Amino acid sequence: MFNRRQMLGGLATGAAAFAWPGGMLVRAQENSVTITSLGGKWEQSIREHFIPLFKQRTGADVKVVLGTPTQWSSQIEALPGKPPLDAVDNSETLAISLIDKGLVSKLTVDKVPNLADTPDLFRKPFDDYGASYQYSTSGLFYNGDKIKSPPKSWAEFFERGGKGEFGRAITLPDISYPWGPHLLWHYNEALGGNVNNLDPVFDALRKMKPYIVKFWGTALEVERMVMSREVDAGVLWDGRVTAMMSGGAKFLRFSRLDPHSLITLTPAQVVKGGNERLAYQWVNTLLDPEPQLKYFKLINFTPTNRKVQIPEELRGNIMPLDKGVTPPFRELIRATPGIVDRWNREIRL
Amino acid sequence: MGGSRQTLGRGAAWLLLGPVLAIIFVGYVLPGLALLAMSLEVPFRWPTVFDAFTFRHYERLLTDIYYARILGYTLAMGAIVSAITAVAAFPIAYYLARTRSRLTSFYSVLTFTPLAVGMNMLTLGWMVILGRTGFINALLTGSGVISDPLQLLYGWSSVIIGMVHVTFTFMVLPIEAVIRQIDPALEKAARTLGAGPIKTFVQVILPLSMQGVAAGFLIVFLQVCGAFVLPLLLGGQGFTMVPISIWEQITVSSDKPFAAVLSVALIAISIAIMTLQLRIMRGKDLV
Repeated sequence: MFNRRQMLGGLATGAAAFAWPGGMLVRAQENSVTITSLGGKWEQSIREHFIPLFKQRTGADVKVVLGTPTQWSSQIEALPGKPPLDAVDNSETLAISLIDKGLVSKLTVDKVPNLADTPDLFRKPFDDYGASYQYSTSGLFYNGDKIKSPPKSWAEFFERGGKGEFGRAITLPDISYPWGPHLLWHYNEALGGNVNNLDPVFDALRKMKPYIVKFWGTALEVERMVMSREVDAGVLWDGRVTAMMSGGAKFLRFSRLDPHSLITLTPAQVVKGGNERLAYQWVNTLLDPEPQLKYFKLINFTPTNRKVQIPEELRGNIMPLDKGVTPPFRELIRATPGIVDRWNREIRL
Repeated sequence: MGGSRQTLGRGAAWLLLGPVLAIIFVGYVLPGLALLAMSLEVPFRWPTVFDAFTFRHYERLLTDIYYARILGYTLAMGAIVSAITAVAAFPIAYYLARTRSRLTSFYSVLTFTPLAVGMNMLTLGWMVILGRTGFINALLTGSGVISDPLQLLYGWSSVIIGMVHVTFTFMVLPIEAVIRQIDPALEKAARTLGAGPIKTFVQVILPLSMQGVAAGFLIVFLQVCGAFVLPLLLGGQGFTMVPISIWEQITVSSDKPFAAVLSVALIAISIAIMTLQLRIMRGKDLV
């Protein structure tokens, strides 16, 4: 029989083999591709609009892993060379992190033909190591029943909000929201600052703080606050606001403020060492105009393929790209720990 | 013969212990080592030579007042919620332990409802109840008690209310188990000797049930210190607990080593408190 030493040795060896990064965990990958999706309507669209087209073209199976970009990127980083995912929908910051670590493969037009119809704005920030199949833009939502004269610019919004003109009924994204630093950078640019001078935005936020109900950390929070009318004004993405408006929030209005809106991207990436052949085809499907239009009608986030024919009645929801800006991602990534630190000291305490 | 029986017995014992040891090793020891390695910026890949590491993230934790403050918030929240839950749960636990009602099973099931519903649903429920247009404000404004809705959400009070509700069951169960073991004759003897109900409670029941209170306190305290969703959704600005800060370091700052340091600090404090409590209660079964 086993003695204690043999038993412990066997258990430790077995457990380590299973759990140690880069260990024996393997995954069947012949004719299936493992991809990612957010839950809710996003998952619905992935399953109803994109997967059928992909299956029709490749005959391959698709396994969908639900979660968030943070979780997916951590999984990819934990098993370099043997990733549990073949393609990933990422945030801009995490996409760049995976690029810098050499964990994703470059997209080319011969492998991803729809890349040719995807404007540079959605590819070049990632040097073609990712391409965004959707984008959304930031703006001001407000309760039209209470705010009859909405601000026209970000400067006006912060000035009037800081004087209490909208009451104690404002909500803004918290720094803990993964796009919090991006939005903060954007307000700062609109207020005349830059990534090396954040004084304008922090000054404006300190003045507005007494009128903030809560800095929200998740989109679920802000949507709940809007629908329960706990807040009358705040900042959110166009797609989410128009979805609430079309879902019955008759009091709600959305306005893009001068001088510009922040554009947020969702780069799709092919993970190195996974089933790259099918992963390229999956990314190509994400960039395809046909499912992108269906996706837009369900989610309200704007498609990126030039060939998508947006119906006339929905064109008003889409912001012209020249009115939007994206942050200098790498500079912002470098500055983010300092921004978080300053937020903790000046806004939280 | 005797020797081989002894070996067989030990072997069987280790075989039985095997699954638990495997779970502890894979679920706690390995992740714990990975966390420690990350906090020291040591790559966790075999067979990396563990020759380069840094304590700079620990230095940051020890010298930055902001993180000392959120550690303080977290521990204070744990202590306050545990104390309130103990006070709220004790009468229920006493009743459940002593009643001979035919509805005992029903009452027991009721105490389990927070567990059955789950933390996320309870959090959303409290957001509906405490919101500006929620149940309480609607009641108060509708009845004319107040004219403007109160700000009941997004502060200490809403987090405390939610956490007390979520952890209630974990306090009731150990206290009830201990009270069941207290001989009712002791209470009768105290009453016969002239002690009133309050004196009987303070001098007989409470001291004898402290093991249950201590066990419940420990479970609730650790749960509160590790809570994430509820403080995130019910808490307000200026109110951050350690688990939220860990999440922020990973998702926003991309500073995994410092997130690991915060995790190690939280685990170390939890273990220290658990050890302290076990030492204080040494010789007494924690239920």
